[in-house]
Amino acid sequence: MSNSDKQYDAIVVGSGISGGWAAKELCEKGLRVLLLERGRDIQHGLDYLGEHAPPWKVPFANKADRKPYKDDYPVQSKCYAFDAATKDFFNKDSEAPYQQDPEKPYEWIRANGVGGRSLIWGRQTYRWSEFDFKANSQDGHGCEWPIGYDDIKDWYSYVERFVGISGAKEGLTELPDSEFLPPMGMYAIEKTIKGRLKKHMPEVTMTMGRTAILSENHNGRAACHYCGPCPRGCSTGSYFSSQSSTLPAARATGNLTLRPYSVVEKLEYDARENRVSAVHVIDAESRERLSFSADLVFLCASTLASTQILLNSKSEQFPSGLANSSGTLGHYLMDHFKMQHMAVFADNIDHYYKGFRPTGSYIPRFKNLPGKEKTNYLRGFGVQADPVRPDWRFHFNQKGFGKSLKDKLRKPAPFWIWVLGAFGECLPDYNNKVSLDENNLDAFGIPQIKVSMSFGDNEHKMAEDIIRSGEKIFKAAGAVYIETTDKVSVPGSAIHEMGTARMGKDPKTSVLNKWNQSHDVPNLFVTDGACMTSSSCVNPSLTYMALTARACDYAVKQWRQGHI
Amino acid sequence: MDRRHFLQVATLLGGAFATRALADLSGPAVSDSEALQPLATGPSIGELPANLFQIQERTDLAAMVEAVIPRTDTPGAVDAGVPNFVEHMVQHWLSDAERALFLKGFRALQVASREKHSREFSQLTMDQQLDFLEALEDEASGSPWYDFANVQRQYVEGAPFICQLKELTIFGFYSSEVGATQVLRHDPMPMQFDGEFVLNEDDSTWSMIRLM
Repeated sequence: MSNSDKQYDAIVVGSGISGGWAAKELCEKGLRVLLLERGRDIQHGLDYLGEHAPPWKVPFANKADRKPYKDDYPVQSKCYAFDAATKDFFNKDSEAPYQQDPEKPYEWIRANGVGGRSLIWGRQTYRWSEFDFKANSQDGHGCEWPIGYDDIKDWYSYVERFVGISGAKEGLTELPDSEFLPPMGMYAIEKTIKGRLKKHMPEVTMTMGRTAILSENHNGRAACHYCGPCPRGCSTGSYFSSQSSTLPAARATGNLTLRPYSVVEKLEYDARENRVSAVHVIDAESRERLSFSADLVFLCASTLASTQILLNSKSEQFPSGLANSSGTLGHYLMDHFKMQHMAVFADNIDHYYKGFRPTGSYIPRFKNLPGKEKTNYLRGFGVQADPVRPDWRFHFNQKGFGKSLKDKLRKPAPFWIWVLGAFGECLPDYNNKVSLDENNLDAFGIPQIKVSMSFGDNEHKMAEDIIRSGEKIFKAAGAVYIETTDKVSVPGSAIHEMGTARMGKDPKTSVLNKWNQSHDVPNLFVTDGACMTSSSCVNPSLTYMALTARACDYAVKQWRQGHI
Repeated sequence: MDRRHFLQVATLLGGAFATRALADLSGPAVSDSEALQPLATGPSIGELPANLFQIQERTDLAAMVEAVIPRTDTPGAVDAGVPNFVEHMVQHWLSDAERALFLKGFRALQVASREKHSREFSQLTMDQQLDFLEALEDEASGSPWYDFANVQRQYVEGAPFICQLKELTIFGFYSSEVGATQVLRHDPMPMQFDGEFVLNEDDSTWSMIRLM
């Protein structure tokens, strides 16, 4: 075993959204940082192999290559962003399997390369509100958050100014405004719908999607060129990714060492010093075992992977996993549940669009809030809405041949479809959990994770209301045909998995304190989705960024004062 | 190119390419043995390898796809390289069962043409060709392939030959460079979003769609 002792002040595990931020912040504060990434290197621009490929260059005209997808990507290929031009950013399920409870399917969408899921994320960017941070203590589900909105709001501003978020101010307490770049424009049909909702359903707000995509040049990155398929990568850096944003900033300090192909097996615990003394790594290419040490260790490997590392880091003092004196590690796994409804609109058919707007619009939560409708369930849901003008891909299967078929297929359908994607908050539940399966090892000899999660009564009651609310919104908006569904997404597939190493005030019931620091082991921090105590109903990535920057600030101050 | 020169080029390319090139020299890559190159610099879908059919079959297939999407005042399926695309898809994309179904239907149509008109399908008049195709579509009309919003990702296994032929022809044509740029409107770098953009009665769709 080779040992590269004390070359680094901090080790960050994972180079996705959270890990990129941790690397940037720690490097900029003068620490020498080793950033470990289990996947291959993916260089900004150079390795975006699908970017700007015209339709005639995408294999099989981008029809799903079913056999290899089923063999190698049975889970990943279900992701909306997965196709022939993006698949190389995804993890091969065949090479990195995990176990599911046979009665409770769970879809773990994973990236496997530098940048992690920041290359393929949905880029929707929303602040949590004071109601979100208070939800657990008010209704008694999960443990109380150790922080409130006031503790994080300045950190939201801090990260937003760097990221660049386009959106519109609305002045809502339940969806606080970010530091915005100008919002992207609306389609004519959206303006029509918005006007009707204002009149017929004044309790809802319809605002432009808040997205980490630049509507104007920002911090040396170019404004969006509206080419369309973001998850193929963006060499102009117009959307936030580790590659476009945090890694260049970290690299510019001269303090960053990025090591791809570095699978973290476990953390070594030194009981005498009560600290993580080493990070054990397996080189994915050479299978060499390596060990790295630093004063600070940040786990940012993604919700399930960070917890997997902790569970696999057993010692005499922590027989059920490092930093698990509370026994809650692995528990309280959450994901938003998603439902999708669609309706047909016959308005504005003489309007089309130019440019491929990379976001939809948003209807913030409008139930179970002060002054709003109370329901028979707890918490609420938000709705991402998007108009689609169907083209030949939607109606290629019509009857006919020859000139008239050719002519019909080349023109847009004579209607708009407006799609509502509702995301519901999921209550924290002890029984939704991840554990290690010692009988099933991965290619590196590391126990695979086993996920067991299902949505509960509250989610199902909310789902019923989402159907009713969808119909109501569609009617108020003037739809001519409505199709709702009672289909609730499979856990994991909203790709908002959170929890399993939650923050809390009490070391007996939580893993992390209010600074994302382990209650048990002071030089250990977890700042990705694993830290979340509840799930809100809004997309979580912005909150991981803010918590990460905040935790880095605290950790470095403590470290400089000799407390860590 | 000698090994030394090759290594220099690989290093200049940098990053993953260099890593991969070097790995290739030292044996197969651990994690990904596929040759990775940008799609935009790769072959077009109309130029992909296919060697499933003999000359007469190719001639008849060309006639069939042209009957689905003919040349009018704009180019048609043959102009766009669709025959080769369909052959490639049948050979490499369809499952064994689907391919058998396609070939059975295709050959039955060839035979029917000879039996009824004593001529190859490609030698029939456009009306005679359409009579055959429309009859096949009538027979197939109960297939779920015709369901509303049967979208791209859900290929209907067991779809009759005529549906397979139409689907592959249409995808090949409207995705081709000719179809995308001369029949649809191709605007790969719009630089702006305008949600009020006017649609005139005769306007085509854009060639691209968003992928959220």
